Amino acid sequence: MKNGNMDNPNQTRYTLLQRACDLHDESAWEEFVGHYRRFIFYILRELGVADRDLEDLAQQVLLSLTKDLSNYDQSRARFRTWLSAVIRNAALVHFRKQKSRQERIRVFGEEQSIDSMDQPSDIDLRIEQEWAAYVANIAMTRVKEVFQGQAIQVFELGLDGLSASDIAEKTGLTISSVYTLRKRVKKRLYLEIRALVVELEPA
Amino acid sequence: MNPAEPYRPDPRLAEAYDEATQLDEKGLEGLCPSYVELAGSSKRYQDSVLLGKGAVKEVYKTFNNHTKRWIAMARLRADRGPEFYDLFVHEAWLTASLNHPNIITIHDAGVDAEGRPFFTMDLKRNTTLADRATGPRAARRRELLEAFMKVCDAVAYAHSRGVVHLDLKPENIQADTFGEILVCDWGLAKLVDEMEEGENELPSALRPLDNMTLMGQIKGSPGFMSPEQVVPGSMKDHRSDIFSLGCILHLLLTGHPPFQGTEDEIIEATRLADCIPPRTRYPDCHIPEALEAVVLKAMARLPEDRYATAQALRDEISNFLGGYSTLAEKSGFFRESRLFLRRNRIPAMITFLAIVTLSVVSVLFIQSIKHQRERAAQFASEAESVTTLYLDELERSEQERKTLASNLASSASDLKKLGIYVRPIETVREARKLVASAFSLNSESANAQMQSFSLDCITLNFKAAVNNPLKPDSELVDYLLFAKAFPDFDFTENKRPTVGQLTEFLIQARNINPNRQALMERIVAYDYAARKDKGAYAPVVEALLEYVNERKGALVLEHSMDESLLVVRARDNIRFVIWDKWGSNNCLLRFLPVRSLKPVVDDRFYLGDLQSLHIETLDLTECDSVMINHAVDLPFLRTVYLRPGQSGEKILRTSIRSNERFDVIVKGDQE
Repeated sequence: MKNGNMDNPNQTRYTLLQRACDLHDESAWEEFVGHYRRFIFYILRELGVADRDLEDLAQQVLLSLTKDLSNYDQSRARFRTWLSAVIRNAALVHFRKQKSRQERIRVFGEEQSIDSMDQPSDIDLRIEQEWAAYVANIAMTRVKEVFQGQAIQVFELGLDGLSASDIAEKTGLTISSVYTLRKRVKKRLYLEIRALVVELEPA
Repeated sequence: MNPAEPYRPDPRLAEAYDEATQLDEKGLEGLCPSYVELAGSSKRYQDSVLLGKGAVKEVYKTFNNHTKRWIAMARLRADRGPEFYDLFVHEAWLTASLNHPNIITIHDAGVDAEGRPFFTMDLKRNTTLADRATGPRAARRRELLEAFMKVCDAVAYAHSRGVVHLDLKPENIQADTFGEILVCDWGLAKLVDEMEEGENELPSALRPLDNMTLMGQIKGSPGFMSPEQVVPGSMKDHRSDIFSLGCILHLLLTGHPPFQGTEDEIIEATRLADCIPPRTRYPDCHIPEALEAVVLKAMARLPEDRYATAQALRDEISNFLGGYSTLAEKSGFFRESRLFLRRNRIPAMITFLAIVTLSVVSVLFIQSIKHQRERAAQFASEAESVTTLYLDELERSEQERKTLASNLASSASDLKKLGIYVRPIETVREARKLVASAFSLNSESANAQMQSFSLDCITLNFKAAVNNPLKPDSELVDYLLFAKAFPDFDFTENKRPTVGQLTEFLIQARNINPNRQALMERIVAYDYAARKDKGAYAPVVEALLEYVNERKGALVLEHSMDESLLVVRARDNIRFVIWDKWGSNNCLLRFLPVRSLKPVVDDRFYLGDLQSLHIETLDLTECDSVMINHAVDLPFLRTVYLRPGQSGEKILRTSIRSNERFDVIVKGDQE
């Protein structure tokens, strides 16, 4: 779409989620679900859900996620806070059903804090951080598709904490090239993250 | 990320999300580093390097931290006080008001931390029109003239805005090698309205320019300013700029300014507009007449004699480059011809007509013989009438090109007729150029084909001639018979046949077609001129005369080079001249140059047939019957021998025209 937004500033730009839910866009739904499913799988596994239960539980989380999406209120909580609560809740219910008190306590601590949705617990914070890292990781995957040559290598060496001069020595580039490449990859990464936030986090 | 694979987080990216979404300092740095840099740069200009110093300004190269580019910054010279502040600011404002691709662009003006004014402008390579026009690496003239037109554009624009520059000179015009031209240094520029109010000059103590020390009157740069700028109290207007443009054009054409010498001498010469015409002063520069005329008109002493506008001056250059003659130049045939050809940009034609008409006509004019001069003049006027048809707003339509090609070929024919006997080699060369030009206009011109064929026959290049697609209805089609009889003849200016080959050809030619006498004369005339070794040529002349007289064994030539004597023995009355309009009408014995000629003719001998022979002695004692039918030119004749009883001395003297008086000696009966 060439200058679409410039030509018509009132034109709504739909998020991936809106397209998936409101417009019943099949492929948007697939893409949206794909991103969440992987994250939900990962988190549930991290929380100690057994492999044999993962598929079912993840499906349940996705269902409630999409069902409750209309209830999500941005003014009450950030999306990832809400997302964390949905996942955490589902896991809790699962463990309850399993009567696996041991597991429950291991993961969530004592009973009294279980239902407190309004006050983010440690587990919520952890899921939120995992979500942030997850988005950043998807973004990085996209960035890697864009750059050729040594740019990604330079950037990752930077992530490992190497100085520009060390990177220059290691890659045979000049220091100013190292700076330039690192700056460009980083900028692109940030742009991708911001784009993903728009895609995956309903506003 | 492959969705099929389980997600394995890269922990190193943990912070990126927060930074990217929350846009704290680090986030901004990552997302928009350039913005952060611009926001953080406090000093707009840094790293100044002095480029040059004028009377008022110092110009620096400086880096603009905000726009990230090198620019030029003009500052008021440190030793110039507040008296100059407005002068400086006005230059900035006035220049900034001029929006033209060939006028320097002002970016910004302001007052620095010390309270001194500055302005910034385009930074260009530090080469000026002066650098481009002089020295061993000077640009070519066309390039300089195109640059000059851009200067005229800028000046014309400024004039249209009521601004006069008053200090135009090559040093004030930036010129790079990519053709960009920028008129700079508008420090003396004035709004015409202001001048009409008679705004006073600055007090002499404050005069900003180094060259204003003279009498307190002079602004501008000596050498490029107008007379009215050196005469106190004179009215200056846009025509002062026209004069300076004329001076610049002078420099571009010659590499030198029009006025040179000491400053006093320059001022005096400027006052009188005493410019030596550049063609006279710099003959080696090969300045076209048209451009000299433009320089002199632009540099006229009286403003009203100059071009009225810079646009008019520009148009003159444009016309010159486009090939039209300039207004300033009186039109004439030869130049118009050249311009016409240049304008039409047909490569092979660019020089040919000028060369042909000038060289051939001048060659022919040198000839003292009156009727040739008349024919030369006639040729010139014919060529003129042909060519001028095409001179003005000619559109090169297909038909016109064809017509012109045909006319050019006809000119080749005329030229050949005119010059083949006088300067055979040059004539053939030039006629070939004409034909080549005709072909370049129309590769299928039948007329050009015929002329080309004819030239091949004259030079005995039958190999080329037989390949010529001559039309069957061509008036020269029977030449093919000669060519086909000697298809291996491929002779040129530098490769001539042997005497035997040429003799054999002439003998055979008589059997093939005895009616092409003029062609044979042309062939021999060309061969004789082109041949290096001219000895033992008697068999050729003998064969030629047999052709002309249409009989074998018509005569015997006894040529003694040692004695420089030619004895011609013939039984019947015999002719030595081809008396038709295609022939030279000169004696064919001229190909055997001797000082003495002795005809031994049993029948009638026509004295008029010796036309133009360069003999000194003529022995008529063995001619039975000397016929004197008309006057004959024998310019070097000194002695005529008669035997007793032959036609008298008196009639010989009235019939023979010689440069000097000749003797008529009656010999005794020697036999």
